[in-house]
Amino acid sequence: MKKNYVKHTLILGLMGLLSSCYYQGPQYYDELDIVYTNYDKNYEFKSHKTYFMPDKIVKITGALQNGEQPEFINSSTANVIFGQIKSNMTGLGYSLVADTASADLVLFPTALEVTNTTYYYDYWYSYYAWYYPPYYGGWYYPYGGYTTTYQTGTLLMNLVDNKELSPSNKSRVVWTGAINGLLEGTTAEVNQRVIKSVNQAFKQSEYLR
Amino acid sequence: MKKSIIITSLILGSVFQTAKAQESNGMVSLQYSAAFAIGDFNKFISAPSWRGVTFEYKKLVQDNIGVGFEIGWNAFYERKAYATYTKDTRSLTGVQYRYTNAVPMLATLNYYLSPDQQISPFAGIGIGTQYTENFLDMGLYSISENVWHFAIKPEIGVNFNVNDMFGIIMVAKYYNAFKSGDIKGRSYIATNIGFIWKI
Repeated sequence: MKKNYVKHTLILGLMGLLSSCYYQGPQYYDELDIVYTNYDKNYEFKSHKTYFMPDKIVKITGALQNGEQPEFINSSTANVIFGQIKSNMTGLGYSLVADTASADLVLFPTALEVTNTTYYYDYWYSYYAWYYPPYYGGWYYPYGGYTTTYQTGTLLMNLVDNKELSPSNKSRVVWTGAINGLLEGTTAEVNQRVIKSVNQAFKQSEYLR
Repeated sequence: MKKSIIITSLILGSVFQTAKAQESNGMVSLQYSAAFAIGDFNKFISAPSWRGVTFEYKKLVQDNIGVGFEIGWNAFYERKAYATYTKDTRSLTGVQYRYTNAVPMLATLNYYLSPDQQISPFAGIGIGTQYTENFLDMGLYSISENVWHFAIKPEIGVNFNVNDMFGIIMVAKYYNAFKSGDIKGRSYIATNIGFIWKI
């Protein structure tokens, strides 16, 4: 009798405690947005203040065959991105020039879209399903497994020196900004998040000034 | 890690041998545990943990000395607001989610000041290992590290003996989980309250 009393109280106590063990995760798409920047610390940004920028944003879709045209992202989204880049570059003291040859720098924005398929299952139940003794209805498998797809988007902004070429004819990248997040929600919502992240990329790169 | 497991197994083994050799009372205890990260661990997660449980077994080898073991679990979590983290020339901005599961497994020795009284204060020490799972989620990326730390735990507390079968325990434990390789210490203070069943 005494042993059963101890056993039952222990089991009930453990079940109660384990059932309240869910962690809080991200609630909104924008909580998954990240902004990464890196730069060449030996580069003199102060003496290079003109830049050129293409009028389309290349969408990376895989290795291009010789002579094949790249894909571009739609012009309305591209305009939003260009607008933000220009206003930030102006704020940092750079002038946009129309002549490729005379510009000190070239800013190349490129975009990448990836569709992911994931099988989800409930983390905690998968860990603790074995914990519930047969006494409470037998062993059971973790429930709640399902598959889902989601699209992620990355915008890369590479600032390269227009004059300095390596012996193998490669440009010197002096600044990189990358923003990454889920491409979910309405176009207006996605654009709003892109604007915030592009601004953040320049905000955390004060050395460009 | 292997060293910690071997040391813990040896200590637990000798504890059981000692306990078996003596015909005396034992007790099991189940406790709710709230915990607070300190030191390097506090820099990783400063929010208190309200999710934890500790299970203890003790055998009284003398009227006022108990030996046994404990196994616990404390889940730490903190959401770090949108912020920029810079290292050398690289900067990364976003919301971070940090999680740590700490599972201490220790051999224990306790000294009871007045074991026959209804209110019985005690002090104790534990030695063994602490397993921690650490997750850092940022954006769509997650970094995880699983580590075994060598751990020592002093504790003070009080038992309220309700009757011959049952009691209530309140105890403060300082889990000192040492640096393991490149992984910094994961030390914390736990304040527990729970039940004792005498067996």
